[in-house]
Amino acid sequence: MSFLARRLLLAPCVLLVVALATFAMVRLAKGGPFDAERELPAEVKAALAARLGWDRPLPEQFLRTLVGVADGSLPTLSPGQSVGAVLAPRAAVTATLGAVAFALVVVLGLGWAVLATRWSGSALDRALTHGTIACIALPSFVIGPVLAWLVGVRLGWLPPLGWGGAAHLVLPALTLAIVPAARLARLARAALAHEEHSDHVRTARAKGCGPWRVLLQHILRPALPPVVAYLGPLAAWLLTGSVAVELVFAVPGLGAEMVQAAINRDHNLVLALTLWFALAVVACNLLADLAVAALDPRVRLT
Amino acid sequence: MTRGGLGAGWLSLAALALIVALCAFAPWVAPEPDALRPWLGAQPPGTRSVAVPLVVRLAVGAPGPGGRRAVYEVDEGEERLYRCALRRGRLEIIGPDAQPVGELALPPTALIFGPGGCEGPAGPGVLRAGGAPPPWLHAAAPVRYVSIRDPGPLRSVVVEQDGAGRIARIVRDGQPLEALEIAGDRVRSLEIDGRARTTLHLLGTDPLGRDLWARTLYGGRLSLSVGVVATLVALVIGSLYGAIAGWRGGRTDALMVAGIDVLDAIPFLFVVILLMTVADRSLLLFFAALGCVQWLTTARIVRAQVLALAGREFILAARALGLPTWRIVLRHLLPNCLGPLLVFAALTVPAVIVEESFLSFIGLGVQHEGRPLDSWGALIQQGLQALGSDGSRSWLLLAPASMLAVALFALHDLAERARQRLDPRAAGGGR
Repeated sequence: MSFLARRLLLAPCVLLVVALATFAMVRLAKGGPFDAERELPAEVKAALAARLGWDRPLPEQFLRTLVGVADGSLPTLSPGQSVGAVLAPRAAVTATLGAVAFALVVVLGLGWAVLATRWSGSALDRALTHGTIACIALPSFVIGPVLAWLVGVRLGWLPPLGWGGAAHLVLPALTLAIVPAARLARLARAALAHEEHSDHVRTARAKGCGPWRVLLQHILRPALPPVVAYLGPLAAWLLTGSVAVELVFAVPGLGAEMVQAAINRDHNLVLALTLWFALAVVACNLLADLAVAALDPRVRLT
Repeated sequence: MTRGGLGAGWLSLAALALIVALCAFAPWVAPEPDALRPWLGAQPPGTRSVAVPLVVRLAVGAPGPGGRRAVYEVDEGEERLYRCALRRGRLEIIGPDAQPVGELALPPTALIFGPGGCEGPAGPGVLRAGGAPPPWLHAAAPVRYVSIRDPGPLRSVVVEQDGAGRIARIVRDGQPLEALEIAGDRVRSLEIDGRARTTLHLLGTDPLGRDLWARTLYGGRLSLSVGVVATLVALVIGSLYGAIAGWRGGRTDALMVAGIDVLDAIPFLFVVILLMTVADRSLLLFFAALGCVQWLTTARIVRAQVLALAGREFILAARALGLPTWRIVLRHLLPNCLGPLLVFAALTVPAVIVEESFLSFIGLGVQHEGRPLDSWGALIQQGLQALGSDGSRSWLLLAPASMLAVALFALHDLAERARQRLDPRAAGGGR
């Protein structure tokens, strides 16, 4: 089986497994959204179940859920609000935050690695080796609150929470980007160092190629596949990692909604979010695989 | 490895050992983590407070506070109760004389009382009737009482005990009493045998007056134990799965690897969040759920090692001797996978700690009998909530955050060093 066919086959399998697993968990669980408060009359429960579609046979429920998630018409606990209506404005917020953070990661991480390779062994290079470990160890829900407190409240330079103008973007995006940027810098530095001593680079240097040209054309290009392979899961990580960041900075995005829906036991909403996130993760991984295959012909043969 | 690098390694090891030891011996090095002192409120690190419980109950013949002779200084100042209620979304204040009050200035010592008793300090500020209600007054808590105490004369209560630690005599202002109940917030000082009895709050207290040092250590117990146990779960499941796949080979192997591929592509954090919402969040579930997220990489590592080892002579010899498969796998294959497995385990522990703390942070942490347990993530979240608008209560956030950061950094650093020792090629670009 060819590389492309295998990858394309895997993606729907993953989605099906996620859909089945999440659906089974939600339906088999004892607790429902109406259990914590006082007992509801039977007819009220029946009406709610009918509105949410929980009175139908399980296979039909499953198919209806899949269709409802796909076109956004699945009802949520809030009356008159479908999954699509709740999530659409929030998806835009998370996408904006994720895109800015992604750009920050690429610029900071790759930029640092390239500069450290250009001046190999310099203070910048040593800072990369030692400084990035500290960043990698810290989770976003430690960096976020401390940044919000220090920069947002004590120094008062930027708004510590909320969503609005560009100033509101800086701290959440930075919090999201620090850890993956440090990881990317280490990864890219190792890949660049590996290529730095290969034969074609020595040949290029011997023929009188300038240092920047050698770096960007002869070292960076073959070092890209591992970097791209990392960026695919990273895009997905930015979606999942944004849960804590959105909570810390009160950003009205998908992650904050996910937690709220989970605490409210709004099962339909949680199910829809999990499936959408799974789709995003699978799509990002697939895209990264295809990009790596395009960059490095050797991958296609395995 | 340079000498400086080695030194830093010892530093990480020492920091980690210190944190683990402090958390393990928390009952001996920290006060009671659940002792409420709502009248104290959030106090900065280094504060001392009178070591009394919420209510001091004294009775002749009952166990006493210790020592021979204990002296309580009790403030018997007048207490005024204000009834604060939510009326059509606006605040209504009724004074102690049943008359409406237009404005109520809250001293820092003002306490909120609900149906369940004291709910903590009301916080300094001014309440205005008809204005927006304070945060502690909402639809779920529409009526609360605020108690304001004017400092009054101090009375001393002397408690004498016999040799067996039982109370022999209670004397208040020269009057002997049979039994006495004193509210903890009224006790100004406690002297036992002439020595003041206070609790030192090394990292300060939270808004309910609980000792933050104690809470941080007990939170660390939970975070660290979830990290270690879930890692063990991951190692056991992963090594068995990987060993079977690698040993059987052929179609079984292909199928099992495809299974890992499918599971690997699932955003597990979301499935775990879903799991936390539908199941009761016991400690056992956390061990299982977080272990199940991490076993995939273990399985890959073991499978690769087993595949590489399967053709070696000593395995061939073991098979030729007719050893049963389980014995070959357990005694000959798995011990040879130990090196990479240990490095992976060292990296998994901090990863699991982060996941557990993350779940606690978003409010889906471990629960015990319906009550969330303290963990570093939960403490960071509560610290962030309680920072105050000017960020002046920073210790509530910084103490648990730095404890978690140091533990994670030390674990990462040690794992990274172990990896470089075992795999010279992975030495990060030759440095």
